[in-house]
Amino acid sequence: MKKKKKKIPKPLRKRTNRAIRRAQIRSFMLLLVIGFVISWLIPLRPVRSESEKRDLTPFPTLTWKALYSGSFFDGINMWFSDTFPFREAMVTVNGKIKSLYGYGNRLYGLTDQKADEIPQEEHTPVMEPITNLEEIDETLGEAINADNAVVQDLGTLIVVDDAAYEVYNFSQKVADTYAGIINQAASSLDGVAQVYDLIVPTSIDITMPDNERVKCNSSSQAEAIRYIFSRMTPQVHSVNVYNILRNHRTEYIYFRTDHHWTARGAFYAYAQFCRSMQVQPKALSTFKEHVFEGFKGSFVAESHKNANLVNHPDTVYAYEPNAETTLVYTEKNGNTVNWSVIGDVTDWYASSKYSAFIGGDHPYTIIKNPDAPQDKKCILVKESFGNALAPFIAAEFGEVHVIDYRYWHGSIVAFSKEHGVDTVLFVNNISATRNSSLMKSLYAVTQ
Amino acid sequence: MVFSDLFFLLVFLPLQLVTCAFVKETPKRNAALLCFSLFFYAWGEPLYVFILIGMAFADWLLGLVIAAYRGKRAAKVAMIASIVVSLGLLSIFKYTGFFAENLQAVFGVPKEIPHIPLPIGISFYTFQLLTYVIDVYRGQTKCSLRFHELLLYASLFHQCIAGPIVRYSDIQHEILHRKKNYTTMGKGVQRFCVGLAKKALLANSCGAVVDMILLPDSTLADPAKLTDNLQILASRPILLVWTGMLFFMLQIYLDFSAYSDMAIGLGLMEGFHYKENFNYPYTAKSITEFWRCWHISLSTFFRDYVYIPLGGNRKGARRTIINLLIVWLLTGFWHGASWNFILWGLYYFIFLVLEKTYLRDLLQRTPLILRHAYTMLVVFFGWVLFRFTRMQYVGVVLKGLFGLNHSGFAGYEATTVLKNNLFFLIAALIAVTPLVHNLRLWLEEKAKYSRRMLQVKKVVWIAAPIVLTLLSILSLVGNAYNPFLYFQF
Repeated sequence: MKKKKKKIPKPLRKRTNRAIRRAQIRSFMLLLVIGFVISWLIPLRPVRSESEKRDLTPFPTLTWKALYSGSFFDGINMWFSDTFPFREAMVTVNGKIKSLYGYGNRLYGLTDQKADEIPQEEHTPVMEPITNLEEIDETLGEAINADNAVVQDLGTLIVVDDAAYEVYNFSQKVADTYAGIINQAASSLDGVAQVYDLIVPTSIDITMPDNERVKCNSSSQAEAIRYIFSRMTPQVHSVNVYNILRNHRTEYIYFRTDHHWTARGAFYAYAQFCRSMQVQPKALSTFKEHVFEGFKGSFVAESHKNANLVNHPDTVYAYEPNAETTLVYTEKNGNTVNWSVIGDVTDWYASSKYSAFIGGDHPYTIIKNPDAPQDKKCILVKESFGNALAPFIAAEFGEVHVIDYRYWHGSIVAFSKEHGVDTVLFVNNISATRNSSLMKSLYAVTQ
Repeated sequence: MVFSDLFFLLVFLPLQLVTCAFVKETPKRNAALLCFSLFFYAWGEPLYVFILIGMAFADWLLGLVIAAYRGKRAAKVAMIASIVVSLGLLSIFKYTGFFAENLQAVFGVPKEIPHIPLPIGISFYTFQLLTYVIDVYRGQTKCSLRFHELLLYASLFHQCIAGPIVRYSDIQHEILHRKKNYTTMGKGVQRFCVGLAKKALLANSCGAVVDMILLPDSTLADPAKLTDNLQILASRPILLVWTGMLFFMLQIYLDFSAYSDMAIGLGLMEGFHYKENFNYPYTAKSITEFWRCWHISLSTFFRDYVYIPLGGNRKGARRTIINLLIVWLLTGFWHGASWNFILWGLYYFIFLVLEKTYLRDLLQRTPLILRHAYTMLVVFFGWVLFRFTRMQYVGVVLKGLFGLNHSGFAGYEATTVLKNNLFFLIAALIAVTPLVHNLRLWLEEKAKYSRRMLQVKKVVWIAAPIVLTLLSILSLVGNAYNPFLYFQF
């Protein structure tokens, strides 16, 4: 017969159990009270998240309507958790915990629709004129909000080891619109300036390891770029940088934690641009180098602080012409600021270090280079990918007028005539050519 | 405000607990609890809080009338009046839009579809008050002489907005005579923390996967995005649709049972004992069993206040089936004012009737594992009807599950999403089984015999709630919006 095991004396068990319950209650209450105190240390509450590049939920304004509809109280709930003291650190720790959920490459934001097939046969340029903005609205649907256009929609993200890549889905309609806009600009600028178009591929098709790339559903950027250029008129000088970037893919030409290319990647594009202008490009060693460490780019926030990305930040290598260049940018509110081609971002937020290039995204920036031919003037029409390229372009032109079409209001055609510009270079990353709201902004400045 | 709001956790709850800790006498504590409860409700519904108060007041008066005229016609009239008022208000707020939409579709009138916002928790507190009035009428419970006591019952923030549907008779005694001691309070803390972690760590993470694959509710509800949404859903390969629905199946249980856990825990902290609302429904081996373990307070409500009064199974096979049909139509419709919920109710009606008739013998002969698989499959497809309020979405997702959208079997995205969440998935699957619960019982048993195990128990019991709460807070910071799924009913 099995021997009956001896129980611990009841009083001891009872005492221990009571002690457990008491400790449970006390520790729980203590935790809540500590949390309560911390949460009311208002000065510790952040108002902006630099890594997410957004202002955090503000404390709601009290109105009668907000009060009786309850939105005031909802607003307090949102404000309370969104601006919690030490939020960045807590979100980072939470990202680390989430990295334990599984293994392998990570996928974020499965929002994309199916991509269009990229037509294989030969194409004729888009000739149908795009007559007015309403028509773009109609063909592209989707209401456009000026603020939305500013934030790059990163779509689906794949993290392989310590590098993230953005999936690209080809959209024929938007690609055709893009080609049409550039065609129209070239035709309007006929006899005024030479028009160049440079489409920047994104890292997924350049630096992503081949064995990973074959598995992803991402449209071929080589084919997309070929298609878009095939839709452009001979008036447009197309600058195809795909192959040269592929040839240098083992170098540090794209950031791992950010959707942009590095200055080195931009340098190869500059070289290709020079070749299509039939100019000898300068060697990279002739430029002055700056190094800024600890860059945690847009992919970090987009991946909810993926631990691999957070732990392996990028380094920004920036280059500027070895000359007495000057740079003045105009802010959205119209103020002008004297800056330098490469700004010192050593003490900037880890997420803002791409702003080393020409002071970041501003509606209008002018760079003057006394060592370059003074009669050569260029307009660089760009979104943020153009920032890393602009310093190299400044080596070739006495004046570079950098126009960020997302914020600038005006007509490039009129501007070219007014300033005696001889070269207009459109630099657009491939994701912009599938983004209908960006196309609307681009259309607006080319009228 | 919901239990997973940081504002609730770090402002409301400590204030409430500290206040009630200092108030020793029960009537005063009740007054404090009532103030906190009304504040809690008004925080979400500053105007509609008066509907709650008004309804409780009407039912309190009618309850007095019923008690005064017991056995007379007036009592019956009072009870019917209460039912009409309660269900009438519920219908106006919840179903006006639905009926107007369907009338418009068929007859072209009305021209304008009224959009009446649904007061939070009205589906729950209406039913709670109904149990009170009906039970008083039946003589199963004494009527409440003091209005504030009934109002406390109806508005108690533990269960007012998302259940469980606590009956007045269950807590009537505890409203005035509850005992608060270390054991119940400690148990309450433990239960609440488990619920919080279930919600913040498990259900929300499941929800993120679901929303990524099957789109968030806000996107699905936007009529302008209908075509885009259908296209996106149709583009998902088979494995991805199954993954999305599996995570939804986990999410809805974890989310809802988490709320019940937290409600029960909060109740215990104040000395209230609410009945269990779930009993591991995903371990059920038949649909009948599933519904005995899922949202128990709702199914027993329909059993005791609809099915049995209609005659239950005592009036022959045909009437039994009709009674079941009524109950399941109502159950479906209670979940939401749209056709998919009605179909969802009918869907379960069919399986429950089949299990009572043709499938009965067959099921008994079937091995347990197959019975379990059958049950889970039926429940799984039920959730497809439940998640999508538009039938077009239901259609495209059902087609997707069987590969009829021709979007391939797996694909890179599907395998990556699965790998990314593999360990989490295993944890979530364990969380829906009684494994952890049994482990706890085992440790408790061992701790009776060995001092070492008693020490282990001590450490685990004290550390676990704190660690879970800390992890939950971490995951809630910066996460501005995380409503409970059942919050919308």
